[in-house]
Amino acid sequence: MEPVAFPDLDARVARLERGSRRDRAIGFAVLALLFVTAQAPGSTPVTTSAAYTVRDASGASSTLSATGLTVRDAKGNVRVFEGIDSGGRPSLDMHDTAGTLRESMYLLDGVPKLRLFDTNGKRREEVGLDDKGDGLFQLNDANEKLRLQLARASSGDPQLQLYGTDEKLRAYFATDDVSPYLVMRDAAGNNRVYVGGYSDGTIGMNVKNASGTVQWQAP
Amino acid sequence: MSVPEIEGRIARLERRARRDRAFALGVLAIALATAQAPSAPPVARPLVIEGADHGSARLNASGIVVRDPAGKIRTDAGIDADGSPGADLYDTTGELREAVYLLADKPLLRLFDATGKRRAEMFLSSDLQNPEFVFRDNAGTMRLGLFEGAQNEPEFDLNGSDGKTRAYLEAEDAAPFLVMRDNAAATRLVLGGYTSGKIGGDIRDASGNVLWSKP
Repeated sequence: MEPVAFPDLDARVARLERGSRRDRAIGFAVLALLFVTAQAPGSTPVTTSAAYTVRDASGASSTLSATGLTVRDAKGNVRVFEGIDSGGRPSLDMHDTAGTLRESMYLLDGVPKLRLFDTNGKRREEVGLDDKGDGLFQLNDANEKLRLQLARASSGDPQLQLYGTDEKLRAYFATDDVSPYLVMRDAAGNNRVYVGGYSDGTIGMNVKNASGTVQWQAP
Repeated sequence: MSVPEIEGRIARLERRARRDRAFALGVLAIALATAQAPSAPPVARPLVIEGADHGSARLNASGIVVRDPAGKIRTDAGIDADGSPGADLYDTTGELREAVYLLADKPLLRLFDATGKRRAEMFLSSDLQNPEFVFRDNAGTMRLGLFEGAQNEPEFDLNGSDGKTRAYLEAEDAAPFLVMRDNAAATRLVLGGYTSGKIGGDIRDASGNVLWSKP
């Protein structure tokens, strides 16, 4: 067959062939990039700076971030946080449906505490260690005044202490190594009743008036 | 260039175009299936991390559940089926032993024995939000209580196995008082401040007659 001159057609076919080769090269390059950057479905430890959130149909969600776990209810209110809080303290916090913090277990300046709060955000009950590392249990009234405490006194004696609305001590029941003792005070802070071991080693009981005069004692 | 030559080149180009289209669609599908989202937007699927010993942690929308290698839940934190936020600790048999949570929005800590009975609790009361701490025996009866009572006075109670108070130490602002009762709930000893303002003590018989009183 004799060659036929189709100069335009020849140029267009040649252009198409070049374009096809170029597109194939781009395709292979993109594929290579995908293999390098794709998330492997079954890969083990993944390190990422982004938080991971799981959400259900109700809108409730859990978010795992670098600082811990935050669980929100369907309204989006934070209800549980477990992790390191904004103050750098390891903490487990629980919030009520209104969003108020009601219960918190955390390390406060390195000291473990569990605190219960009322709906006004007042601290009402607490168990933990004191700054010396001794056990401490406290009940507060609605004004956040201390009313009852289990603690070790400065002497080291274990004590149950009851306080008035003025946060002053009214009664304490304690023991040293020799014998236990119960002390009752009036609103002015005067000792009025004493039962148990005295510092001289005797054991007995006395009742005093507001001036400190013994009204009765035995033996 | 002959016509057959041109036909051959065009036919090759057509085949190549079809193959390249299929190739491009495949690449696109892989990209959509595996691409990393730049800011990791919310995902709906739970995250499960399983260790070599088959212990696992599962993060779902309501919180996190951690299982030991035997598959028993040992700890969880989040919102439970009743909508209560909390955290639980389970022993090796799968029994709940310690829970901190909000029960109907009221905070509490509960410790359970191996049979699942509540033995120690710390909570705010459901009516006045007053703080309470109680010990229960293995029958579930309250035997010791520390609380702020209805009159907002701090109180320490000791109860018998019938759950009735045998002794309590309470502090009013004027003066504290200690009361001891027998098993018929009759007051047998009072020490401290009386409602009259007097401070002293008395001992009574089972009928309530005062046998001794000072001062």
